[in-house]
Amino acid sequence: MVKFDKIPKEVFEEAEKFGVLEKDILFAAHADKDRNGVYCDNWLLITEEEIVMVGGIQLVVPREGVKRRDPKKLTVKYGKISEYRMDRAPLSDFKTEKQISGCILTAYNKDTGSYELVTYLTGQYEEDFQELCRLLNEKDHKGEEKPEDEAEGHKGPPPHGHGPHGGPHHGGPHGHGPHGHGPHGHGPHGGKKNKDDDYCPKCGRRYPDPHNKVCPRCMDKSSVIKRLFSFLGRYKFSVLLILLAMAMVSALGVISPYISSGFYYDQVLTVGGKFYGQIILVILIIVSLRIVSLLVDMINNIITARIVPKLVYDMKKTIFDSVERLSLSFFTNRRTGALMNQVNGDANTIYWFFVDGLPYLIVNVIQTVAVGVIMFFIDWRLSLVALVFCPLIFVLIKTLSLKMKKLHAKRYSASRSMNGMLSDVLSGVRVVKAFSRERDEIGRFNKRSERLADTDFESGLYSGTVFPMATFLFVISSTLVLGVGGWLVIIDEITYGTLMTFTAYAGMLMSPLMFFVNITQSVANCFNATYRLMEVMDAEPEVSEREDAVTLDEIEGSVKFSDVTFGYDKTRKVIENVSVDIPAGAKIGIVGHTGAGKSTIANLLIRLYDTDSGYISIDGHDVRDLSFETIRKNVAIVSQETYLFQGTILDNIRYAAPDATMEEIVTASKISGAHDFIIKLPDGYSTRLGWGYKELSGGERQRVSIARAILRNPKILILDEATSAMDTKTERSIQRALEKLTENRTTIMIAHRLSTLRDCEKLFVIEHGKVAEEGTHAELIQKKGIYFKLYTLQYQALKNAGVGE
Amino acid sequence: MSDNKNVYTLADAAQIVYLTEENAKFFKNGDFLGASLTLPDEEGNLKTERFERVWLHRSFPFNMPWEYISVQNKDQEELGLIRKVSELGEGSGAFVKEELLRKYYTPKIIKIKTLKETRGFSFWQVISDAGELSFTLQDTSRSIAKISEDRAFVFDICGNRYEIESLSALDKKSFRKLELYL
Repeated sequence: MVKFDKIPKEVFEEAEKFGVLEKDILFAAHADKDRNGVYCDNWLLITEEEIVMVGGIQLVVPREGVKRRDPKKLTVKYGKISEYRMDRAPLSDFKTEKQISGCILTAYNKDTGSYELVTYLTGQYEEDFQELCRLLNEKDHKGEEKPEDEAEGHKGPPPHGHGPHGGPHHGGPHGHGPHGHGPHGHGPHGGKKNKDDDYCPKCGRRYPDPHNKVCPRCMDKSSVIKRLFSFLGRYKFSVLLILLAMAMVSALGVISPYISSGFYYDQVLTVGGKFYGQIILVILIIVSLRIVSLLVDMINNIITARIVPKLVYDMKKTIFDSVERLSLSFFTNRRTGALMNQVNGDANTIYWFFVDGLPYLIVNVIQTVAVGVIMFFIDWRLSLVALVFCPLIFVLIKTLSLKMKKLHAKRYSASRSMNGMLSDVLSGVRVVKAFSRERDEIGRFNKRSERLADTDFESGLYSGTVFPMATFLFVISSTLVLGVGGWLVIIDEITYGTLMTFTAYAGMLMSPLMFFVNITQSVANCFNATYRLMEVMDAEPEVSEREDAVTLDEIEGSVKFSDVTFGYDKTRKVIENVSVDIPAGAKIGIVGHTGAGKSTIANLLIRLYDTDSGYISIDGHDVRDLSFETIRKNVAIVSQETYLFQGTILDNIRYAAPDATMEEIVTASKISGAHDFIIKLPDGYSTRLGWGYKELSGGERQRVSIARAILRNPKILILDEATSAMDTKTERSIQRALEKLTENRTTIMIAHRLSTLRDCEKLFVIEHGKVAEEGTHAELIQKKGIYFKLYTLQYQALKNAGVGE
Repeated sequence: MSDNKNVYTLADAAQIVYLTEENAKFFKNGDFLGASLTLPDEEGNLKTERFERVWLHRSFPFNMPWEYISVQNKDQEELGLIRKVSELGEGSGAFVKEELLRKYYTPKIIKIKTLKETRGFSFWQVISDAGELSFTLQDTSRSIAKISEDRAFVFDICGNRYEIESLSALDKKSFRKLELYL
């Protein structure tokens, strides 16, 4: 039986009641909605003859006899709410279909000639069901083969090392080709073992993001602290010095009030005191204590200032290294902005915690404890009076700071939305004017601006009222101490000096109180930042180089796609069973509608992503076996998204080959047609690009990108809509120039405009992710298929526009 | 009405086929929707064809749920556009409505029981019109889309979506939990 999830035994018991035995079940899967779309745990048990669905509620409860909610002692109870049985024989063509939220499992019923809805499910289980459909449909094609028999059917090129698919003992009906899932394999694995990977071992819940095996609920805080401090390891000596200095600062901070108040009154100013009249001596002691304290503090700050930036630098470097190492899919799943924020903002949060938080936290803790002890030591009655208001003040400030935190978040989002809108409208002012929408835009701006003003008012209101109240409470408690203390002095229980010492110490409590309230937030922020950084550091690149990857110095340039299937998001296939054979040195074209999957083919060849099934080979080597260096050195791509970095045009062209000579750069630019426009710019190749500098037009950018790719002198050149933003004339001239260059190179041209491809030896027409037609231009025209249609359409359009070729 | 005229010429150029009671009949086939449509072929001759199953797609799902419905075949090619479901007549219209309701079904959040954010994820426990649900969001602020002043959609980490029909109709406690992210 292939299980797609943990199946509770109650389900099998339930199934047995209507004669379905566990041993007859071929597939068992878990959906989270039933056939009527009701949210529940719906178990699909599939035998040769029928599909049985048992819908129910799964509860996680403590095991019998266990009282505490210990996650290890939890078990799953199961209560049935619905059941449904379907005859399996007439059903074929199982499919998951996306709905606006979640999806449905459908099947074609041969007997009735219509489609049937098997069950609803949410997005969480979609991948499981896609795999289930694949297996079901495959079984239908193959007839009666048992999944177990196929366990060794691991054909195709050698398995690529990682992932749980390596050995035959994992079983599972992986009939054809390797599965390029990388380490996060999904789909059935013949048994429960691998499926368990989707669950947090601690709490038993499914990971929110199955590709990132972190259970946020069970995140181990201590491990975060450990790792955070492991960065400190390198600076042991400095850290020790800092701690020492901080201990001294705290000690001095605690001694000085005693000398300047109690000691001063009782021993210096009172007749009979040990130091009676020696004012200058005491003043000198006080001043020198202050000086020592100042020096220690300065030394501490210097050391901190020195090591903390280093520490943050270490962290940023580690993170940037990890980020660059990750596969492209990591970036497509997250927005670039969020990622930048992560690297920069989080490291800064940690920086400020170390500079502004941690040292004061240590000093304040030591001081508060010391002051508290001293206060009780001086007089316990006064201490009680002084501390009565502390909890109240603490709660007051805490409430305020929580409220302020919310207001800050609100203010942040308000200002973000205002700024975002402002920059949007300003850069799009041409469009605003063109459609005379100024008035609406002003209205939109005012609304956002108002929201910002509102939050500002609210936070002003709170900080202006609650903080003074807290201070007032503190003043009241000091006054009470003064009153009770005065009474104690009069009845001669304590001296005036003692009272003065006490009030001085009591006054030292207010600022730590404030500090502790605020530090909790800072600690939490620091933890969150560290956690996020670690998430990046720990993320596994989905595309990784094999340890024993082959490096080829020179390649011939033949490319082969064998039955390749791939989707950016595993639930949606972009290309399906694509097989393309390109001999070395050939010039081929890939044609198709927008979104047909043309660029995806290019992305797969340069291994920005790995295939889901099937394989791609260069010179007969599976690209997954080749080192990144081999691929990057021999394959160059000019993609439709031409990204130019900030810097000069020269820097940008040279990006691909930093060692290229000026002559090579100019030659490459000449071929790509970039030279002609570059030379017209006042600063030529040194023209700066980017914010506030020169902006290139789409066609110009493309020419620079082509120059960049040519400079690499690759064996395989991919031009992905590389000339789409140019006029046909420029395109022709570049193509003519390229022709010589591409003579004995494999060239793959991807284009929407067919005129771009007219020199290609062979054309592949991609439609809905599949190769629909292939052949030369003449052959395809004769065929009168999709290509012919595209061609006549474009030809017609040109003729209508009076361009006719 | 010169504007209108413009629209028509544009539409003519785009060759959109509008489906109405005259040229379209929808029926229930199995669990899904089938249709019999009279469509012009490449030469412009009208031909009636029976489709065992058609797929519906809203053009403006948020604002006009019952207008501009694209009817597609299994290759996701548009067969025609329904300008208004009401133009289909009672029988067909009801089937189309049923299919649309099924496909666009989105649980509506009535009350937010708990909303906890930890480390970039937020965990939600809500009461919806489909019962109690719990789900997880990543990057909370960006996963909530306000489509009007009062209406919002929530997208969870698995791509499921939930609707908050009226933000102002939420109880105060629920709204306060949500407010931060709007």
